[in-house]
Amino acid sequence: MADMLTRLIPLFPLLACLITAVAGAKWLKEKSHWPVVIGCGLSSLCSLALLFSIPNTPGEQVQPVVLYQWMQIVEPKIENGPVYAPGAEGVSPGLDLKISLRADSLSTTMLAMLTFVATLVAVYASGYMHGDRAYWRFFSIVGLFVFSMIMLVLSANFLQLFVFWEAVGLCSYLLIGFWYEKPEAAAAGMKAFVVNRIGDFGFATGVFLIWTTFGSTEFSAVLGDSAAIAKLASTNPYLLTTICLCLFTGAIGKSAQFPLHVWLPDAMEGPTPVSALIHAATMVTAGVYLVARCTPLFQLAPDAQVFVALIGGITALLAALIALTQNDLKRVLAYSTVSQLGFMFLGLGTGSLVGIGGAMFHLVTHAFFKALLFLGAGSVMHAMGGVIDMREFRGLKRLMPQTHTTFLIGALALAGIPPLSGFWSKDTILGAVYEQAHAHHEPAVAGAAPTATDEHADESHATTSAPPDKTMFGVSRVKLFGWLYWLGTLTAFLTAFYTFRAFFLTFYGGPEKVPHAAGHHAHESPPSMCNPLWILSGGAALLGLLLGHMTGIFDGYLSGTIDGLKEASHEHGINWLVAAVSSVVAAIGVGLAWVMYKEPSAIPGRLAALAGPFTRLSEHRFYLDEVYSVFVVKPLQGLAHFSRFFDWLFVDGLFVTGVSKLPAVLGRLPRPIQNGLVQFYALAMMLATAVLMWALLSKQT
Amino acid sequence: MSETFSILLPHVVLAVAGALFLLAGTFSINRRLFGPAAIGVLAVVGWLLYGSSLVLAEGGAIAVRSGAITQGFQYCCLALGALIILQSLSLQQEANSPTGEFYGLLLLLLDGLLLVSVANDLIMLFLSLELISIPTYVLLYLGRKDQRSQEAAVKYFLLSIFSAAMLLYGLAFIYGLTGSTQFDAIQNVLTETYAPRDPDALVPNPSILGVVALVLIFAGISFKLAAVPFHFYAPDVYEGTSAFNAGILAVVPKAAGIIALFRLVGHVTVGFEGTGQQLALILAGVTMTGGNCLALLQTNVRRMLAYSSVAHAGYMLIGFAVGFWEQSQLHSGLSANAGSLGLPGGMQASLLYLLAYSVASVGLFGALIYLGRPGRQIEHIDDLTGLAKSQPIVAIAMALFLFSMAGIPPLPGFWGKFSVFASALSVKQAVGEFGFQLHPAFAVLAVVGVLNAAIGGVYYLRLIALIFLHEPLGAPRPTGGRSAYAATLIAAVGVVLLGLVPGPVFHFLQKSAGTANQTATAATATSSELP
Repeated sequence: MADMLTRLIPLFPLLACLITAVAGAKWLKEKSHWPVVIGCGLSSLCSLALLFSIPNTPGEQVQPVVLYQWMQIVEPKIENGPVYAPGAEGVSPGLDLKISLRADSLSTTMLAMLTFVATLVAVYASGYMHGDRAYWRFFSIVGLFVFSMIMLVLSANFLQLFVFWEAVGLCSYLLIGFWYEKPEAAAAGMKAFVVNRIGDFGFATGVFLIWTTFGSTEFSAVLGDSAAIAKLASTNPYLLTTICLCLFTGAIGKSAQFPLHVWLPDAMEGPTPVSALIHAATMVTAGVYLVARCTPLFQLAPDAQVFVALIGGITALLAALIALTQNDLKRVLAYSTVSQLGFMFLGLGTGSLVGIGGAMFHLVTHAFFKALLFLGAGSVMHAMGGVIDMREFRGLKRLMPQTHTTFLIGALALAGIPPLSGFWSKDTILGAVYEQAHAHHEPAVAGAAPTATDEHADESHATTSAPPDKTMFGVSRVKLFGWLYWLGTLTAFLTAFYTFRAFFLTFYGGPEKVPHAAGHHAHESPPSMCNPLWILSGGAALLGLLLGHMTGIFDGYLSGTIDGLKEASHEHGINWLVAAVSSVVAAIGVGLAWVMYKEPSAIPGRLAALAGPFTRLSEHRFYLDEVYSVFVVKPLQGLAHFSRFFDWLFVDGLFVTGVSKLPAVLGRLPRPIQNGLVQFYALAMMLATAVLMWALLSKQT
Repeated sequence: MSETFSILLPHVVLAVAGALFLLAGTFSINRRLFGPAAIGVLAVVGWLLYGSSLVLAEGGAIAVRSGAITQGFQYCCLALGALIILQSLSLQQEANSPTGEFYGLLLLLLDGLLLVSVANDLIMLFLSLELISIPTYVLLYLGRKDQRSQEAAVKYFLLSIFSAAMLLYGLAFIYGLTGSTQFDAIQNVLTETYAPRDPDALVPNPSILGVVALVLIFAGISFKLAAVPFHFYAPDVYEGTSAFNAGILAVVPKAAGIIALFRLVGHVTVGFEGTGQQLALILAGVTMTGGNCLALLQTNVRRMLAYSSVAHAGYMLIGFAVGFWEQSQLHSGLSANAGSLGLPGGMQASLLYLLAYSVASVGLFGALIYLGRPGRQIEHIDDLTGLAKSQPIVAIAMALFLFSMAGIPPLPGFWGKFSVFASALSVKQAVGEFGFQLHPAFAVLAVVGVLNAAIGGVYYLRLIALIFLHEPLGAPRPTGGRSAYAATLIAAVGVVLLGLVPGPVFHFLQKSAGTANQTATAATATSSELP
């Protein structure tokens, strides 16, 4: 049953993509959305069914469904265990190339979220993209994206993961540049593609390292064998750390973390449903999924974990600061996405199971409320005739009541106001960071690990807890997490503030004003766009309460893959101090935004003037694009110009006609010998035989 | 006796059928009659082969010996032979051309190829190689009646008999050295002399005679493989003759040479492994580099493919260098390390390469036959410019063949190169007491091979670029021959399948490599027990 569902889930979107690609332009035309909507819907139903039909027992190896075995040249015995033998010569990694699907609790959680959001976005897009010239092309690529993302999540080995990692990147590129006639859109697509290559390079290196180290890229052989990882951690910790950092580099690129976050805000040039689906809810969380999936590796590489936490924390704060001053509604949300992804990495970086579970939970809730916010922004954009600059419109509450209410729910969830979903997930992460920061107060219980009665939990904690209190940065781990906690709390405050700044600027802020582009028929969006908003806002409002700490359903389910999560989160419970602090801080943020932006006032302007340099820093996104332009792009362009010159002079001029023509020149040398004279050929054969004979005989004696 | 009979029966049937065709040629020249009949004969032979493989899974008698690899090879030969005959149905020939003789000779030639793979005796081996050569001479002569074609036929004839003489001379030396022409007997004698089980026994240096024999045998077979510097005939003959004949020359003698080496190595080379390894290393390096560099300069399609086939022979010889090394390990009682990657051994890798190369070659020449007309063959590479516009399907098929030859995954050419290079890198050298490192010569050879693959990529991709990225130069060429078209498509499907599902072939070769090694060890063990 589970196997059947696992096969069906990627099949529907693939079929939808093919049908739309083949029949879209000629026959489907205005109905091109149907295959994708139906395909995603069926996938979504199957994913929900799959949630409950996988055997979700902790510690048990999941048997992947092998769809297609391309090549397998390994000894059969390697199938059951890793061949890792550090330093042993003559142990070559086997080559086992296949497409297989692995449905465990981690991937089914992702699947359920992914297919559900994808279905809603597809419905929404049928309204949003209505009348577009390339209607069918849009849906065809969306179908391809959903398929690729499903395959990414279901991958049972790193190689397949990498392939579909690239595939979703390709779809992202195609969709960002969907309106390729617009130069900005084409440039943004290019930027996303190029920046992602940097991360992918790291990821590919990581996969190679895993392959040469473990002799396999199968999850079961790499991640499923704790003995091999422990052996590696004790014999060659640097290799393990390097592997983790390489994988994390891939995550930095895909999940738009500092310093590679610059592509995501530009990616907002794509159609808004794409921003909601790919650049908020699903694809950008692939990096989080990757790191969560590789938990067994990261847990034994504390240095890499601290690095993850640090990058996550820095990104969260930096992006929140930038979001403060952005005037483009979608860009505010884009930076907010970057910031929230930073939060997830912060949770992953704590290394405690609670933090990892919290990150995954935040991933799911974030998918709902951020997709909701983006779709709400799209609804506004739709009504405003494509204008998304918040200075061009205000006071839209009366005009767009449904969008207003749903956007408010999403904003509250993002701000982390209890009891909406964002509160629960963000709080879990902050609680986990807090735990790390205060680990040394309770040395008796060995760091973050509680005294678990259960032997199994004890074992899993023995490996996770008590990391060395010295990090690779020379700062005490406890101190570092102490900073990160306050940094996270500050970010929570900023998040609440900028979210409601955007909210008030759009829906309040004085008398109604619509831009000229909207014409006179500015109106609420059609039901096909509003209904998905309501469904998503239901998720955004209730998910935290239903699945979060209060019930423990999410952690309990996920502990099928992340062993011991249920016990860990049960032990920890909810940290009410942290929860209270973050709620109060969020409330202050909302209140401040209320005061400053509810009605037009002079406060924001005066405040901005007061904080002059900082405002400019934020407005210009910390000049990071400029910095990259000066230090990376321009030098690279210079290098490119130099290379062109060099290429012209040396490579084309000397190298190509010289060295690379060497084969041709070498080929020309014996040309006179190829003279067509049969006597000569016979002589050459004779001579060659003689020379060979002479050479080998002289060696003999 | 019954073993010999069951092995030989399919070959005898094929030979008799060939002879009957020659006879029947007197009564009819109907191509539509002989072509399908020839394919039918091949099907019957395949069925007989299957029957004999049921009777005899592994083993043989005095003069012939069959086994899993041999049978696999024979099935592949029959399939490719059927494709070649299918192509020939599209050939347009003048009236009164000897059709029966044409197909009779094709069948005899295929029979020779099958016989090489079962030969277990020096004389048998030599005669079956001649059974390939002699029909080839006639086919070359029958192909076209212009002066260039005649010149090509004569050139091939003279140089071929010259090389056959060298081969025979080498085989005679082996006979002189061991007093037998039978492989097992030769192996026993050589093992006793040069590779005894007893570690304290005095092992003489391989005698001068052995080295001379090996060099001569290699010279003779190198001609069939078109290895540098025995390749001179190839470009001239390919260019001079028709696309159909060039296709036969590109596949049949090469397959015969490879399978002949496969039979010889490990049987008649015991004790000369070091020499054989050096010989194969040198020839492989020179052949790859020479073939690829010369192919870069060519503007005639068939000439370019001739040099490319030379280069492919070089890659296949890498596997034999590894094969020699594996045999030497085997005889000195060490593990051959064959399959450190779970890969088949070196010689098996070469066979895989041969399969990938043959399918692509047959397909490629089939496409050239389809695109060519009498008097308007595809000559210059510009004749293929913009083919994708006029013949999209054939263009795609050609691109598949060329990509496969260039070694682009996931096509079979990639697996061939991969396994050959991997086998070269699996050769380890003992360092100190327990340590191992890459054998430098083999590592260098693998690097040379990879560089050559890059050079090879240039001219294959240049051709693909011409086909796909350029506008056609003239009006679309008239083409014809549904059967050549069909043969090309079948080969294309074969290429795709082999590339996407390489597992069975790999597994088969790996398994049979294991069996072959066991038999070899067993044979050595028995021989050492002899007084």
